[in-house]
Amino acid sequence: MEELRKILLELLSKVPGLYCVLITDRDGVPVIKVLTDKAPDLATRPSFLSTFGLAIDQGSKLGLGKAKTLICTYSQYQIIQINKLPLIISFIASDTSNTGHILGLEKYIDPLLVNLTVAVADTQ
Amino acid sequence: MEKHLDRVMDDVLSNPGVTSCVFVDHQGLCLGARGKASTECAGIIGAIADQAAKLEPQHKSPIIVFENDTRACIIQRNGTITGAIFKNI
Amino acid sequence: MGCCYSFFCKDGDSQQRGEPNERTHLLVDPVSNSANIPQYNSEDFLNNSNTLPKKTDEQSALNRILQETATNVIDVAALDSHNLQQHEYVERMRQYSSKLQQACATNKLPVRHKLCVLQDIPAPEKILSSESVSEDDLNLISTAVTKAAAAIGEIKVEHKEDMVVLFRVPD
Repeated sequence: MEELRKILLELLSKVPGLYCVLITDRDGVPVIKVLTDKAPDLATRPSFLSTFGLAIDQGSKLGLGKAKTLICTYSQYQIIQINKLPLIISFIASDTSNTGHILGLEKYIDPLLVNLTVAVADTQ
Repeated sequence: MEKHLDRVMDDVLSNPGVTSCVFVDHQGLCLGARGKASTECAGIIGAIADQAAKLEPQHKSPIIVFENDTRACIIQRNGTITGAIFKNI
Repeated sequence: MGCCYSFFCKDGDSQQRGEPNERTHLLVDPVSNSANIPQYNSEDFLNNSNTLPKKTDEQSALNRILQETATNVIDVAALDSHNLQQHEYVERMRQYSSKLQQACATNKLPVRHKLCVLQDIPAPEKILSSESVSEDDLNLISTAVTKAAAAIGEIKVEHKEDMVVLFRVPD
């Protein structure tokens, strides 16, 4: 598990402005998370991250197919959430950081998801 | 909406040896792509241009070239738009 | 064809013998596994179609329509996130943590090799001292990016039809 954290911490340093990477279940309960001290605490709470699940359910009704990614840009931050149900990958970054680069980090996280899915699977 | 950009991209591709091109906005999101290049490289292209510009911030945006034995990738930023051209050498 | 036949077949000797054959039922009723489940023979089904209870059919059809509409309607107010209790949240976190430890112990992650970009070049000084980018390429990229920036500046939304319309019921 320490190795997982190390890999995620490396990702944090790859993108300037990326504050936090969280991998949670559908209700927002974190399975693993890495933060810097610039990460806004409220945005890492389950009550905020769980809205993604509801948003993609409703979003899938727009007639464009299942939602894969949700990008929300606020005045100071941007939140990028990727649908890997039963897991959700959430990135919290500054509003000026490179969104495309963060989206590109998905392929580095994919191989780690095998273990993480096992951790969530039995409880759901 | 993007007729002009389409025309510019087709223009670029008509040059000899060029296999594909990608244009990226300031947030690393793909604005347009032609040829074999995938839109997934958009983020990295934007990041490369940003990082290289930090070497000499007071000067004009640098041109970055990646080369291997057969192909080259040329990247430059102009304002908020970054462009990348892939060609055979 | 064999599958259809075994579904509609009457309860026969096969069940007692315990061995599956082409007459074995494929589906078993999970609620009541008793022998007084009506076994329909295909001919009976066609002949008795008139006597099927029509009321429940209509009801189920209506329910189905209601269900379909509910799933298709985008209901933003339906964000009733069942907020987890503090203890449940802590409990789950602990569970995940321990399961993750177990999973990591059993599945080793694929080893990531350190990237050395110029590893395959035998004589880097030869490459570095050779001619850099050609003038043509420089011009190519400069003009391309300048033209693209201008083209992108001209992107605007073409207003074709209203996005928000009144839900008008004709008089």
